Amino acid sequence: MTPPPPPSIERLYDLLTQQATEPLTPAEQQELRELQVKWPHVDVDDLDQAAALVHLASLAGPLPALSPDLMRRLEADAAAHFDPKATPRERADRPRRGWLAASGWLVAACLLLATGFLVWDRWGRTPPDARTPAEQRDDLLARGAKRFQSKDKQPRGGDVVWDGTTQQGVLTLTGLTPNDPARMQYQLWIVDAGRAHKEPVDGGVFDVAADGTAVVPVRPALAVRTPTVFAVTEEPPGGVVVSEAGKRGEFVVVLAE
Amino acid sequence: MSVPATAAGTWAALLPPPEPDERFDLPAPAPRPDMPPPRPDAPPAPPPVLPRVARGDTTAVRECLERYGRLVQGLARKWLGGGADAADAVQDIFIELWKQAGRYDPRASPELAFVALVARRRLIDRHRRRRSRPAEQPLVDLTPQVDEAVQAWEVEDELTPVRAVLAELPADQRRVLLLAVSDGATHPEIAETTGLPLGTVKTHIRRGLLFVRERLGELNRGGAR
Repeated sequence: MTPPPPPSIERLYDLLTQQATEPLTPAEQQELRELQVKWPHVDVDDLDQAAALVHLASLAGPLPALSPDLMRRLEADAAAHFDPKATPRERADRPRRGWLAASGWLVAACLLLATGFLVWDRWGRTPPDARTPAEQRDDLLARGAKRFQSKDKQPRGGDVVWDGTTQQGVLTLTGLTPNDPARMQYQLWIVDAGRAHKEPVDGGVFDVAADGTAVVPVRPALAVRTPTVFAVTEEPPGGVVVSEAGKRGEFVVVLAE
Repeated sequence: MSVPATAAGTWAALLPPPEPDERFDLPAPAPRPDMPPPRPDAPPAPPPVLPRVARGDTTAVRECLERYGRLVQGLARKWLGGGADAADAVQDIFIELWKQAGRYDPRASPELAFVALVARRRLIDRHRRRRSRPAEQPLVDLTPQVDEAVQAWEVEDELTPVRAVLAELPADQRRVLLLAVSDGATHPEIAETTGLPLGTVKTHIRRGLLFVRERLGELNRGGAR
């Protein structure tokens, strides 16, 4: 007979079930976040996805096609989203809700401006994009970001400073062989215990300077939930989707918490 | 210049061992004999389109709208009726999908599930704001719908296994699950409608969702999709 599970995982599934069908209170949301940390192998989207598929499967077909007008508006929305310079004029075609809606936009604009000023002030009047990776690293450390370091006693080493909340991080390495970007590039991989599929997440490609150092922002291709290890491999220019070197265990450096 | 494999191991060796989760390894019931099998000539699912959307490929945007637009509109109309509010919701859902397209991981889930998840979360938000019940529609009789629907839309082929799994559930459990998920009824409302105790309602929903997840996972691993 299977022993009963610890209470926490049962509670975790209770909350995930509720999340898939009913709103969670702020206290429950906090409890869920804490349990997610404790049980990182549980995919928190699983039950939500199951609910979404059940919802879809319950639709009675056949379903009508989108009207030409709605299709036109959706394409205009997409154009505005992917090209911010384009005027999203089709969104203006939505049914007007009077001056209340307009005042809502005004309030939102004011809030946006206020937020902008706060952010501007928080970063010492330096736009975030203008910071060097080293400055970003210092900021992340000051905000209590996690640090993943190399454990092996070898000339090459370094660390990754990672903040899961903002999905920002900086990789710092020394002692690496400078690369010719036309022939080979280094690629960072993030092993995420929070993902149902246990393939690493692509953290981006980078080059090593003549002095053997690299300080680069980490840019994961996907959201990272529970990083356990950051690893670097040598790959063809531009990087790869699936790392054969990683599968063979040929890591240039491995950084763990 | 690589370190030996023994120093770091492979990707799998870098992961912590999974925690035991036997509690939810539900036994697979025998398939119901009255459920029609998936269409043998069903075309395979096309390659995912969201990664191309994330790169700003305009042809992919059109493809995505054509592939999933009717489904998203169907979900919106089910909860919001056929008026302007549903059309507005469809626009909001696709804007959210454009934002989240880069987060989609084809290795983790079918694209349809990701689109449905984004759509459902947006609709739940809107539904809660409205504080009203969804448009009244009768619960679906799953068995006879499968063939009709498959003939109607191509992407429906991906929903055939979901309907088959739902049909495996005990009738009470399926009804409660559909009331919660498809009709958006609250747990106390379901208890009142069905006459079941609230605790039983919650258990039915939880076991139903876990069962659907497990069975779909088995079908995926078995290449049945």
